[in-house]
Amino acid sequence: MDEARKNAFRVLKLPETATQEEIRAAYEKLEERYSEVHYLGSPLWDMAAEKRELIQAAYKELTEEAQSVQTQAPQTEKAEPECSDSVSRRLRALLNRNELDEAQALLEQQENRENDPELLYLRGMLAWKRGWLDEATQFVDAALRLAPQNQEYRTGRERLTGGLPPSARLKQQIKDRQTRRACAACFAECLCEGICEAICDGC
Amino acid sequence: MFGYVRPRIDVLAAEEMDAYRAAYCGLCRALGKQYGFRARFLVNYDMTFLYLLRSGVRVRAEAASCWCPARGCGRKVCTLDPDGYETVTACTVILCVEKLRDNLRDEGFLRSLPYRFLRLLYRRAYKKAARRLPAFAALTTEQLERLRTLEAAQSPSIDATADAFARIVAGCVADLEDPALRRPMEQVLYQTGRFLYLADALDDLREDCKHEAYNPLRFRFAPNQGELSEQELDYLTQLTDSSVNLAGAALALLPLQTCDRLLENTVYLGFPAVFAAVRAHKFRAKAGLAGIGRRSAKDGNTPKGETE
Repeated sequence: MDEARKNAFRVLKLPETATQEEIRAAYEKLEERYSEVHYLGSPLWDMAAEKRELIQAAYKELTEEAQSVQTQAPQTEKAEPECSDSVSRRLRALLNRNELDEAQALLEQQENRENDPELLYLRGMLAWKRGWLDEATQFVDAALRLAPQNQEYRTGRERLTGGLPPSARLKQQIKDRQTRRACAACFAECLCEGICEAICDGC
Repeated sequence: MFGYVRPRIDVLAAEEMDAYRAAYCGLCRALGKQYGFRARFLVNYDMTFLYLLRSGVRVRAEAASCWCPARGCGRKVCTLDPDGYETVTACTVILCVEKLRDNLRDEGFLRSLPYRFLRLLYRRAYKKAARRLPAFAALTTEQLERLRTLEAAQSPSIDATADAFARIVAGCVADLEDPALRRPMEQVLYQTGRFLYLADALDDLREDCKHEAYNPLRFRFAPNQGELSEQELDYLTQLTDSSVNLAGAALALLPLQTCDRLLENTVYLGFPAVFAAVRAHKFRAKAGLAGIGRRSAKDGNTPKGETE
């Protein structure tokens, strides 16, 4: 087995004897774990994107079927709404590149546009990227009050506080543990039965 | 130190519980060895979490049976990892003494006397810790000063005040050189700090309203006799859930070799359980703690007392 394949197994945390089904299951599990959704508003989005690329490359290495899987490049440049003026276009570009201090400086120059929903929304996005969720919510709410029909602001607002509750992600882990406990119990039961069988013919 | 960072031990596997206890007792022992017997009283769950996070990326340190002063002549299993504990103990001493200083400033002369005495007691330990981690000591002083300025201005921004505290907590791993470890750990601790600040603010809200003391939630929401509405509490829960999710996502980026389940349990289950208890005004009441940081009394597996 060549080094690239061995490395691919390591990335997917699988033994080198894993079947195609196991490879696919591991790939899907890891894709979900490092999904872009979990890193929205996190300064670690770049690390997560690198991790996803590694996982996709490993999967591609190990499966022929995966050749058709398109590698999702990290979304650095997003489509901008048609209504954006030059300031908001620059702001969006800065936010997409995570240049937060520059975005903050540019926003501070826009003193005469305090009631502009577009800038309020972008202020909210900047606060969100800094991890200041309360401030972000207040700005996006203010933008939505001024432009209630704007679909982008609505989606942005849902993203802020609409994530899964923390326990949901860990439910699987607890389920795994319960399964393992059940297996341990089964093992103990089998062992007892075996001993019983050997000593007194299963009385 | 608040004692809010604790795992849900009712769903912990036995070996994870043992590892947690050993880390806790190991921290107590390391504090005693490095800063003298009195420093053992500073041991707490929050810094145990810090140790588990920092040491999780390494091979598990060996554990041995050690003398436990809380048990008199008894012994307990504790982790022996002097190098791993070095930064954690220094952070513990610095944070505890800064907390004492903060309390001292908030109280009048008579009420501040116990804090003055304790500060005197830990003066040498603080100096030693600050020599070991000068950057962290400076960061703590600077951010607490920022926090005091925000408090004096009666800032309604819960983000700004929580940020000052969260930066202090995140500073506990600033000494790590490898950015692949430092960045996710900083994010885990930053979000932990944010969670701690919000949970503590909600826990103290009634008292602060009664004494008209500063609390960011008082100025952000204008509570009625120290009580927030259900809608406001739901919103606060959403804010803390977001911190929990971001901390969990950062945790997933760490190459954890040990304690991964223990850390995930603390973040995903411990934090929300603590916040739910705080929300229901049950956190301080010992009876309400079963299943959060302790097993119920009938289990007889309660870890030894912690500083809160």
